[in-house]
Amino acid sequence: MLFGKRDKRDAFERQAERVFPSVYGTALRLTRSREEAEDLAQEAIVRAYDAFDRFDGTNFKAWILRIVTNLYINKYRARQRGPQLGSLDDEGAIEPVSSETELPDRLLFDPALGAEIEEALNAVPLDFRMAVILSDIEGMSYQEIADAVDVPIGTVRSRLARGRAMMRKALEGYARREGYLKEGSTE
Amino acid sequence: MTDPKQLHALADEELTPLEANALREALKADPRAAAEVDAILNLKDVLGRNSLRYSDEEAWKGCLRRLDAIDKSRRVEGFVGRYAWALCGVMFVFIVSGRYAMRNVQGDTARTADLARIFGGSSRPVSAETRAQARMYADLTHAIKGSLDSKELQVFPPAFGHVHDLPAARYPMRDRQGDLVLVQVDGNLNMQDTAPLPMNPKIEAGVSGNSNCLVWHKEGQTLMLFGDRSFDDLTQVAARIPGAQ
Repeated sequence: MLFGKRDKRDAFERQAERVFPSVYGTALRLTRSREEAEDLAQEAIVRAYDAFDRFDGTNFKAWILRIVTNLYINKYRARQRGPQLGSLDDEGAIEPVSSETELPDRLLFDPALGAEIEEALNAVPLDFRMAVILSDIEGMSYQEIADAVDVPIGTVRSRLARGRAMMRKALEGYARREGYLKEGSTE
Repeated sequence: MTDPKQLHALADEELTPLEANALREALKADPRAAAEVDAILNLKDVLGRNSLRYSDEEAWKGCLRRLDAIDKSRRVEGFVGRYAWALCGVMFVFIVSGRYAMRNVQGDTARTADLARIFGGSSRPVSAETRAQARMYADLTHAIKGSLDSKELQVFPPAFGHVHDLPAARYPMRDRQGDLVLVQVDGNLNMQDTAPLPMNPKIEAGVSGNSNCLVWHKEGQTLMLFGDRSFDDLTQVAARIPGAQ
């Protein structure tokens, strides 16, 4: 893309400001630290600005989130706190967790769930969490996720299925505690 | 049993229309799998709607500050890149003119040692190479025979050579105080690190090794008088040499 210097800055700033909540939110969900998230988000914005000439103009959000995840994987992951369940088999068995008799999942959730969702996300191992964040919160396609985390699409599918299963289990616990799901209900 | 990953792909609209239709048909006969798809869709919906939206104004302002810094450094780099040749030229002129000014204004110490060393090695048959040298030698000889008392100041046959590619002659001299050397260069040679004598600004004084040195110019020639004595004594000797006045 051809930009004048000022135009380039304006064009970049307009797009970056629009997606910054996603950039910062993803950074925060990955790092689980406000300070590190700020660093990661700023670093990603700077990298994106440097590389803006190479942006193909299609999906800015997917492009910049790819920078965020790459940066995180390369730079921040080593310092990541908490246990990393990297040994989980991506291709492991994925069993459905619903049954015909189960209460509809929609009943498990309400608008006040934001904090619970974040807590549940934090409990999900990084690779699976990343897939869930990029797909279900940021709305990226399988291919975009695969590009962002540099894995095959098949791995994205597996991670997504496992990550969602973990999320549903984690949120089910909350629902039981809060009385949304009666004791004795099964998955 | 339907592949669970296919169920997720259906919920994520990642199947081709053909695959999706085939799977939907299959789900009609598999209520458990259909419920699983509903559960996936519900979870996606809940995550999409209920996950917290983070907005940090300070973090965004921090980004803008960094972008400003990048733009600023790019502007500086651009300016330097565009005008590097001009900056180098100005710097070169500045250095050269500064050096030139220093040479002509200041100069407490002489660097005539180089000249003396270069010329000291020169030893050629006694024959003038230029008309100026011949005239100088004739003048000196005449002066010795005429106004100069050869017992007071003796001038010995010169050696000829070049100093900085300029023809030059070296005249060994002797008086009661000891040996002296007069160097005549056929051309205006600017000496470094010399200073004008207070009583005669046309003559510059410097130091060469253990010897003091006087330098003056006359009719396109440079004359240098070296001697292990004070500048006053050297000045008195120079005053007796034709052309030094």
